[in-house]
Amino acid sequence: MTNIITAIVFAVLILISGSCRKSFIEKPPATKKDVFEYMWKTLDERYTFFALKNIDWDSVHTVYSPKITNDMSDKAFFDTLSLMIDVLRDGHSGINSFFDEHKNVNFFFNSPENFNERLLTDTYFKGYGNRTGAFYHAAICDGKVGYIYYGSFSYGFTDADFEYILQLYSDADGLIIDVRNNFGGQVNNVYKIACHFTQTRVAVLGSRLKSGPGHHELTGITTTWLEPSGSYWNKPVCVLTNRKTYSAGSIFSIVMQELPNVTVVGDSTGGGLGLPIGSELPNGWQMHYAGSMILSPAGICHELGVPPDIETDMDPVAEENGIDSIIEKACDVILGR
Amino acid sequence: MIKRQLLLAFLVGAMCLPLYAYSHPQGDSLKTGFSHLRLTGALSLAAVGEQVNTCLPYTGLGGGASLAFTRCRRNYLNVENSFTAGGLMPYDMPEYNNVVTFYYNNFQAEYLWRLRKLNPLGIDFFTGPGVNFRYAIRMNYSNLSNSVLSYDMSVGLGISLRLAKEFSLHSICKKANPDKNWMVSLGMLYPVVGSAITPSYIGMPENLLQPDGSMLDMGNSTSGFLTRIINPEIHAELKYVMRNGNAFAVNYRFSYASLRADLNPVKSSYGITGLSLLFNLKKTPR
Repeated sequence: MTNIITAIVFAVLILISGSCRKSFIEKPPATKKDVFEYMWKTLDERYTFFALKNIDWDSVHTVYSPKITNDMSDKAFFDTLSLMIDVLRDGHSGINSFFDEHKNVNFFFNSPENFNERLLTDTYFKGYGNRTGAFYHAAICDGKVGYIYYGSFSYGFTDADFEYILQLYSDADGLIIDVRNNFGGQVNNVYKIACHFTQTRVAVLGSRLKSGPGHHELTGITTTWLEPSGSYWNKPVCVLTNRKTYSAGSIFSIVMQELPNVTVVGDSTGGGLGLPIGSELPNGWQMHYAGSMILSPAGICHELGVPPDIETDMDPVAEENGIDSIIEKACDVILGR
Repeated sequence: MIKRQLLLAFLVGAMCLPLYAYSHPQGDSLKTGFSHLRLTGALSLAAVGEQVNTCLPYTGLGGGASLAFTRCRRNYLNVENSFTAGGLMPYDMPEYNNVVTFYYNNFQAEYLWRLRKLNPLGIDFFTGPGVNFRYAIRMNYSNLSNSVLSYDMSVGLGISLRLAKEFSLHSICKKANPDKNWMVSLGMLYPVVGSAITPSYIGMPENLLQPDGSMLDMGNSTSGFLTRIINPEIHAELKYVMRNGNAFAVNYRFSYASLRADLNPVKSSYGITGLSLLFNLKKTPR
């Protein structure tokens, strides 16, 4: 009798465990129509900048839904979804399939390049310059200005690296930090640099996250504070930006503008002030998009580009003669010329 | 390679040695009571369905271990922490070979009373309160930007039930020891009241931009009774007790969670099959 009861209990246990597992292990419907609807709805409920960019997302559905058929090729389907996500005009948005990936880069289209790497090597570095950690640097303007080029906030460096550079140019009259063509990376690297240019705790950013499906549903503003750290640089600093300064590069521009002695020179950045998040689609493809909103401490969102303090484009004639007029403008600011 | 295998064999042998070295004059039983420190090595079969960064169910395998203290006298006390980790892949989607690594930890404690009156079949019944605390962390390394991390945590207080029966193989095989040195037990912990934490709406914490920001957001918590936080656990075990009171056991534990949070509800299950070494902690009678 007891053996029968034991066997029954075991069987019940196995059935319970099997049915619990089965209750949620089901593939979601994944026809092309389903995938389109899932993608459109996810962006509708999670993307941050519909209002700021004045995008009518419902009309996007009206336009693109008839173009999707379940028998269209994967390539045509991918291209159609890519066109749809491009409506967001956001470099943080894109889609990845098993055979291709698409990223929106129209934030720098139709804008002047405002950067020529050959001018750095040929005129200012006279080669590749010095390299410390992720930074290329050299003394320019007869040794009166320390120039640092930082190509990506994804490139790591140590506090000692940056301290070494500050020490190296301690006799200079000022410092240029060039983040042109810097598409971003780790936000923490922004703070690791910026903390040397303030002596007091400063509010440098605000941020809001999507908190619900409505286009205006956002959390309240969370303020980010920068604490001073390491040796303090108390002389003029110029930050150089162009339209390819994006994401963490734009954040760097906002943060540095809040600090004393700092002037941002060049073109507006490309924006990218919504930290990207991602979602897997029912067919296994992935998409990414902005799910938050980064603000200046004054509460302004520069998603479309952080304006510089001094706006200037590279002079093509000077460029022909080996002169980077944005660097020269920054030298003028530092040296008071 | 051979050296490594020899070293492994030596280590396993060394681990098993205390089973015999720590001798006890007579075997322990449900009647006389026992006290065990339990070490378990386990394989797990995991399944997760969540919403924060994917609509795809993931399943996969993992390995883990657990450490437990069990004392059975008039009452039954069990305190256990088990950990398992491994890789999950999208269910039934061979064209998408993405791997999500998972870490799962489950702590539970039970204090049960023996119900002697319910013992007409030679089965010992125990029941009483039980508490569990579990957390799971998953890292999805596909192209998901800042949505790499997902997690869920829950704590529950509920009713625990355990059935145990000792038996001998003598009735099946006459050569077998007539002592009742085998024990089969079944148990269940069903939280009645619980609380769970799942990721925020978009999965990122509000302090992510802070210089000392964290990836975890504890702000999205849900509490509820029975149907809101469903987090039962059932287990079954077959144990062989040696004359010195030490024991070996094979066990299976199934843990299911349906955390019906307002934001990013999660369903998951972990089926864990383990092999345990139980060290007798009961003092030798003088």
